[in-house]
Amino acid sequence: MIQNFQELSDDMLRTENVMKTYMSGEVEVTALHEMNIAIKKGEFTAIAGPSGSGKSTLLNLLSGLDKPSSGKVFINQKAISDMSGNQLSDFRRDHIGFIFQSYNLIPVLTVKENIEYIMLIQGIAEAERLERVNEILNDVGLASMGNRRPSQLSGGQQQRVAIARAVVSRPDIILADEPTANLDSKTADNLINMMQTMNETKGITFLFSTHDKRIMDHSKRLIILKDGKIDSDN
Amino acid sequence: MWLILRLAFRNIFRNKRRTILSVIAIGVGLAAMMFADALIVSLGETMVRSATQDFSGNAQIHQESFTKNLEVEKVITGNENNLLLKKLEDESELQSFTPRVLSYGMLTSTSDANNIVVYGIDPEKEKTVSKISQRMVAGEYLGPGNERKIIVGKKLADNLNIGVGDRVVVTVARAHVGDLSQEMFRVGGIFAFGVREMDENVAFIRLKQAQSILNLGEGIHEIALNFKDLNIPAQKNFVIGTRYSRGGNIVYGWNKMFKDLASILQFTQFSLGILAFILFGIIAFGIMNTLFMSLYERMFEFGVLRAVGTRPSVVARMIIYEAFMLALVSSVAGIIMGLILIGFFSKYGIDYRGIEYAHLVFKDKIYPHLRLIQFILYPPCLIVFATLVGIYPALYAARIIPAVALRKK
Repeated sequence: MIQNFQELSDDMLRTENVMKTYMSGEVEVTALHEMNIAIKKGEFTAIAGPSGSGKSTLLNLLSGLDKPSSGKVFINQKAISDMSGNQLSDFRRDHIGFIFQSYNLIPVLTVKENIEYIMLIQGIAEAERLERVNEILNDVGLASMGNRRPSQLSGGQQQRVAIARAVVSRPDIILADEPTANLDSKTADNLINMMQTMNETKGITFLFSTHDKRIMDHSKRLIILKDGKIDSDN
Repeated sequence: MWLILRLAFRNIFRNKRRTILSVIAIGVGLAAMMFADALIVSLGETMVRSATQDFSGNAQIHQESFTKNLEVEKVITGNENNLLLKKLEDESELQSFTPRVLSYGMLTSTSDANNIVVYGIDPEKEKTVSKISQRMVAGEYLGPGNERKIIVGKKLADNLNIGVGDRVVVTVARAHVGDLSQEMFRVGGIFAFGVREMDENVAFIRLKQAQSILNLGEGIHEIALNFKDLNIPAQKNFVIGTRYSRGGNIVYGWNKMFKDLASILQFTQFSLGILAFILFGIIAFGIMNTLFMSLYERMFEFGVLRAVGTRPSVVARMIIYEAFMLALVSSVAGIIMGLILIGFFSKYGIDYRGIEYAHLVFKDKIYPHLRLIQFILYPPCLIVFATLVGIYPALYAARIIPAVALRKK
C-alpha cells in the first residue's frame, strides 16, 4: 500500500506518522506526535509556531540529522529514516542544503572555500567548482569578497554566504532554521527576497522553520505547529 | 583531501596561545628525550673510556683460559717472529695496540713483601694504549736507560715502605721448568690510578726483562687493543674478534672484560627506553588534551560539517591530520630546542668529575653527543605516536550526532 503510494507520489518530502520522544530526566517527553507532512518540489514553505512546538525537531528529522522514534521520512521517495550513517551523510550532501540561524560558516576557511567545501566532498571537478562558486557569489552580491574570512563579513553577508553554500551544490530542498533571526530588518528583507527569487527563477524548494512574520508573509504555504502537532496548514 | 589538510592546519592555529603552549610542552618533551639520549650515550662512552683507557685497552687478545689463573706457559699462539703483531698493524679499525706479559709474583723490599701481578710492557707502545705514563706521581715512567727499573703503585710503595731509587726483588715462577726466578730492580717511579687493585697489586717492568725472567723467549700473554671507535669491540659483528679468536687464542671486547659495566650500560639503555615511554606518554596526553579542548570548542562546527554531508570518516581524518600537524610543528620546535641544549652542553660539558658510579670514577667532563639517530628516530616516533594518539579524539568526533552537536552553541 505504502509502496504504491510512494510510486505515485510527486512529493519531494513526506513524513509518515513521524513521532519523536525523548527523555527529560526520568520523564518521557513527546516532541512530535505522529506527524504527516508532504512538501512538493518548488514549494516555498514556512513552519512556524511558538518555542517548544517542535519546529527544530521536525527540521532535524526531515534532514536526517536525527532519527524518528517511530514513523518514516521520505525524500524523493527514499526513506531516509532507514539509512545508515554514511548513506545519510551522502544523502544530505547531495540532496539537502542547510541554512542555520547563526550562519555557521567554517571560520578558518575563506568565503570561496566555505562555498566550495560541499562540492569538494561531492567530488566535483575543480573547474566546475570554481565556475559555480563565482556564479553564486555574483548571485548573492559578494563577488568581491571571495577571499575574505567569515569574521571579516557582517552578519548579513555571512548569511548570504551560508545561502550560497546551501544552494551551490544544487540540492533538492533547502532547509532553513530561523535564517533571519540574527539579522536587522533591512538585511532580513533582502535575504528573503533573494531566496524567493531563487525559488521562483531556479525552482529551488525552500522549507523554513521560523518565528519571522516576514518569512511567513512571503511563504506560499504556512504550517503552524503547536505542542508537537500541526495546528494549521494553509 | 587538500582542503581537509588545509582545514586541519588552520584549525591548529585557531587558538594560537594554546597551540604555542602545546607545541612548547611537546617540544620540550622531545628535546628532553634527545638530550637524555645524548647524555646517556656520552655517559656510557665516558664510563667505557674510564674503564678501558687507563690501562686495559678496549679489547685484549690472550690464549684461551689464560685469564683464569694466569698460567705463565699460556702465551699467545701464532706470534712467532711477531707475526701476529705485524698482522695487527694492517687492521684499519685499530688505533693502537701493545704486547704484554704478566704473571703472579712477589715483590720484596728490605722491610716487607707483597703479592703482585708483574707486567712486562713495551714502554713506547704502552703509551699509545694506556695512561700509565700520565699517572706517575713520583719518579719517572719507564724511559730509555737502565733496564732494571720497576714502577709500582702508590699503595704498594706505601705497604712496602719503598720510594723512588729503592731496591726491590721480584720473584716469579719460570715457564716450563717451574723454578723460581728472582731479579733485583730499582724503583724508577710510582703511579696512582685511583683504583685500589692497580695501586696496591701491580708493578711494571720492561717487556724484555719480563720475558727473560719468566723464561718466555719472545712469548707474550696479552695484546691490548684500542679501537678508533670504542663501540666496535661490543658489537655483535666484532670482525677483529672473530678473526683473531683462532688457534687457541681468544679476543675479549670491553663488554666481556667488564661484564658489570656492560650490564650497567644495558640497564642504562633500558632506562632510556622507560624514560622515552614516560615522556611519550606525557606528550600523548598533552596532545589528546589539546585535541579534546579544541574539539569541545568546535562541537557545533562538527555538527555543521556533518549536517552538510561530511562523512564521519572525513571528520575523523581531519582530527588525525590535526594531531599529525601538531606533532610535526612540535617536532620542529623540539629539534631546535634539542639542538640548542645538546649543542651547549657538548661544548661546555657536564662536570661529573670525581663522582664514582659503578666502581668507576669519572675523570673527565661528560660531553653529550649529537647523534643522527636523535633526529631520525625520536621526532618520527613522536609524530607516529601522536598521530596514533589522535585516533581516540578522532573516533569521538566521528561519532558526534549532528543534531546533538548543533544544539551545543
